[in-house]
Amino acid sequence: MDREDIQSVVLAGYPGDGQVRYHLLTFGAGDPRAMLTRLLADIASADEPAGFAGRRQLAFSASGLRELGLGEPEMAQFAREFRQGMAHPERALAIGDVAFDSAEHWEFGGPNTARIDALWLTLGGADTRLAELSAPYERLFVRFGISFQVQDAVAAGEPGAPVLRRERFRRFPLGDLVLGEADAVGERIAGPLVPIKYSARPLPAWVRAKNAQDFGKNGSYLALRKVEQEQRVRWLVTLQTDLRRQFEINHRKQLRERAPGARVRGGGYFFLPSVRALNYLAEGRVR
Amino acid sequence: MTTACQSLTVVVAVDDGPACRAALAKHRAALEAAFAEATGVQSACLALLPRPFAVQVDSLFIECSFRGSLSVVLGAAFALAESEFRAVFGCCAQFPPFCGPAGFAAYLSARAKRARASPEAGRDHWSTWRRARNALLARCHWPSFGAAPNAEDLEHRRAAVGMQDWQAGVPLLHVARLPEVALSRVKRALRSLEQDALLDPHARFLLHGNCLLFFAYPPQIAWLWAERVSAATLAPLTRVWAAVPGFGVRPWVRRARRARDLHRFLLDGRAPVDAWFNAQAPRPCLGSERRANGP
Repeated sequence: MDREDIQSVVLAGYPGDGQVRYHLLTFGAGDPRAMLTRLLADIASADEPAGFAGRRQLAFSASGLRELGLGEPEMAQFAREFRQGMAHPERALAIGDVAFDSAEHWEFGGPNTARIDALWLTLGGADTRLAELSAPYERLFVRFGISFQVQDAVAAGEPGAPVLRRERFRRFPLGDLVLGEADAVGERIAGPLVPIKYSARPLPAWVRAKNAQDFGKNGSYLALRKVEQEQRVRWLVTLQTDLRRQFEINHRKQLRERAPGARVRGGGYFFLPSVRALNYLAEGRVR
Repeated sequence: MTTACQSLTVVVAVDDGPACRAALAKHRAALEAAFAEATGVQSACLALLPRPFAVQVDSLFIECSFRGSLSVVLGAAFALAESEFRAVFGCCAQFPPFCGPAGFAAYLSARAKRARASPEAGRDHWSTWRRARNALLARCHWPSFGAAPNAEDLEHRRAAVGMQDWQAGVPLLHVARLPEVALSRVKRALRSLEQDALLDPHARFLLHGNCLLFFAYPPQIAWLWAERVSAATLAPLTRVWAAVPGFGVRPWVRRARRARDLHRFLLDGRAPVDAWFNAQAPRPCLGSERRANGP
């Protein structure tokens, strides 16, 4: 496992009793690649201590990755759920977002709201002043022409750090969390594969992994939901590699059976790339 | 005394595929209502088989499980939505244009095909021996890595079944094309399947030319049902599908992984159903869900 390459939140999880600030970014006419180049050094990876205030992470939606230059052949290799997005009618039926929970009523991520291209997460402890920590980044977003909306949350019930070693000889199936690692049945999800060098030609379908860069390796998918229940706002965050199996089916069951009065207020699927993949996007080796 | 549940499975050639598809889309609600209201119908399903799998022409797949007399049940359904049935079956080959309910039942029963299912009853003395033999035979194949499905076609099919995927009770219809040299091997595997109560008794296989159809009426969402069936009946199902091009279950990997590969194969080969009714899993309407959720 390459801890330096994995974003911190995947292995360290959310702070147990801390705060989270979500910046939902819309690239619009801005310069997302220049912004990404500037942000790269500030993104915490899993080999850094998880306790420091103001851990910052960056995730992209499918539209954000397209904006950064990934073409359709590369995008086709991502999970279907991710490509469609949470507001897609098919996904809405799969999760059960119908009637008053449908995406038309959402505060963000829906068809009637601004498109979300990226998610900038700032994770801190209970006494961290997130507004103060976020101010320079908000100025940065404005400078590069990126519009954003801010959502604050108290970290409670979000994914904590997974216990990687449960017992002797029984390890956590890291492939459930990190792409490219072995999961519970020993399968490793490879890809999406992207060209190593700049090329105007798309990769052939039969390309071998050694001839391409595994863009997905050490990345993970993040499902974000804002749910309101009895005047209380809850944020449901899932970090998984298989959105269908581990998020949609479980979430539908949880939301309908355990929280019958809950209303969905927003959500989205994001991809948390590895540090190497972020560098790849920033360098502009894509079409 | 309750009568036993019987099943009618028919595949008819379609002369005008686009017109048939359009008629199915237009009259879907009326056809489903007719099956729901006709006394004795347990489950029913109409699906236009996708072109690459059908032999040369488009084919319409019809399945109906019922209690009672076939002519009475089909006649009742036909009488409830006569114009809609005529619009759909009018595109099919050799459909008599002026037939009544009895003629409609006769047309379908004349084309009935034998679907193979696993028996409902308990195990016999040789069950363990058969299971061991099945497990061994299921490992005697070489997976076809070369014949990967066309990504565009796969995406198209996923999109077609995707909107039905979330709903419990939607029939799972899997279509696979067999090479001609594999037909006898598949028949042997199907015969073996008929001897033991391994598979869900409502799941059936049908050989239509060199096309192998698998259909079931899962009581839960098809994704979960397929996962359960793949794990529980891995060996017999592997034997049946082993010769299908693109069947990527590798015999040398561990069981859980083979089950996942089989699950993936089962879901990726699904064809969307155009109209269906399942008495075991009534269709929830969005109106009732809205009322349950409140304002």
